[in-house]
Amino acid sequence: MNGVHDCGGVMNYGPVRVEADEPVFHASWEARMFALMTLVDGGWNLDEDRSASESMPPKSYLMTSYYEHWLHGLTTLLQNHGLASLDEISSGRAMTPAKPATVTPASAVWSAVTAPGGYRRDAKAPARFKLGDFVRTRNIHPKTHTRLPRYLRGHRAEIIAVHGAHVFPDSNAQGLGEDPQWLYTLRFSANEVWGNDATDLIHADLWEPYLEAH
Amino acid sequence: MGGFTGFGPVMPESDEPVFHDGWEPKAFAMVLGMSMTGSWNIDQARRWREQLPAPTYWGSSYYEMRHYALIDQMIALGLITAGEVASGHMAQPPKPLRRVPAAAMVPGILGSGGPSTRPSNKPQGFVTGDKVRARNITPAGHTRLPRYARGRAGEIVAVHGTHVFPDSSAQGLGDDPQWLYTVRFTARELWGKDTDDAVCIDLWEPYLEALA
Repeated sequence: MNGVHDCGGVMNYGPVRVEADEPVFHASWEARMFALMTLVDGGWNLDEDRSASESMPPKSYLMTSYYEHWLHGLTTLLQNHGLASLDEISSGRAMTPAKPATVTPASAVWSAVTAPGGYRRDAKAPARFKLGDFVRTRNIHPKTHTRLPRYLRGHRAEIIAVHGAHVFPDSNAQGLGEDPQWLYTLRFSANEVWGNDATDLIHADLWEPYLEAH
Repeated sequence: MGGFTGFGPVMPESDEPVFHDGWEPKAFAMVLGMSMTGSWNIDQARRWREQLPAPTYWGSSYYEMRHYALIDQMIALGLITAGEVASGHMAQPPKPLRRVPAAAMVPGILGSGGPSTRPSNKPQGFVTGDKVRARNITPAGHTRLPRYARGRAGEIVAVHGTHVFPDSSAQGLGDDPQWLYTVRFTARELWGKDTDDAVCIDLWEPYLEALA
């Protein structure tokens, strides 16, 4: 969706303030939020999780911190999957018997947190593009989750890396299966994207369904 | 915000009143009254509204937004101070204004509107039926070319004569009159959708290039 999270190219957010000696967590609730999101296995996937965070009302999204976005995402997922109602979340008390869920024992937490999330899958078909090809990103505007930023749609770019087939977020976020697709790194010129005279480059990892031959 | 999703449904209000609360006509009167002093033009006022912090802009009602922008603009021009706004009391002598709109002048000023047509000897670049492409520009200043139309192809469907060019006027760089056109873009071109819808946008000539 063309949501508030897709902020590339949007101006007027003010300067980025870099925090010296930034702590991993600024408050203990952030650590709890991280633990909940990482360890609660309610049958959803990372893309569905991202999609839930992005569905936050725009004003709230802009005025809240990173882990508050996570909180909104988890609260949404718990409700969508029937694991908790809004009343239960608000009151902090169960009102209906708990659904069976996969429980991560304390001894398995460290490996669950540090295990690399593998998104590489076997390809269903040969890659359509190769290194050095020039392609054009499609001008698509899906109402659901996508990893093709708005500012990169309809632009010409060069393929500079081919990463193999990976889970396709646009499908996975909707619970429609992993639908693995070839993943490429594309190089865009700032001039192509923003129309200015800069010599900067933009690199983006994009899936094959986002692309068409130039 | 054209093309943005996630704002939720538009809720039309039945029997919508002109003002919902007593402060709204006051805010409206202050905004209009200050615009009548000649301290800025409409494009500069729009620029100030657009410069509000994003959460303020998206979290404010119509009159709140205009009110906040008016305060920012008056502080920036030195007409008031942040301290005066906070205290609600004047702390420095008022600055002279180009024009002070007396109550008796207001109906006349409102009635005359703010026409933006201006004479120009610039040649007309396009005629009705011409195929054009909106330039892919990303100015840091005010512009009336929406982001979603940049780089897209359309057709000239009306020619409106020469008008104040907002991109110049908003920066206080003068009227710089330019030809103004209505350009029709298909939904397919803008959004990649298979529909018959079209979007018509009034665009100034510097935004456009001939489609080869």
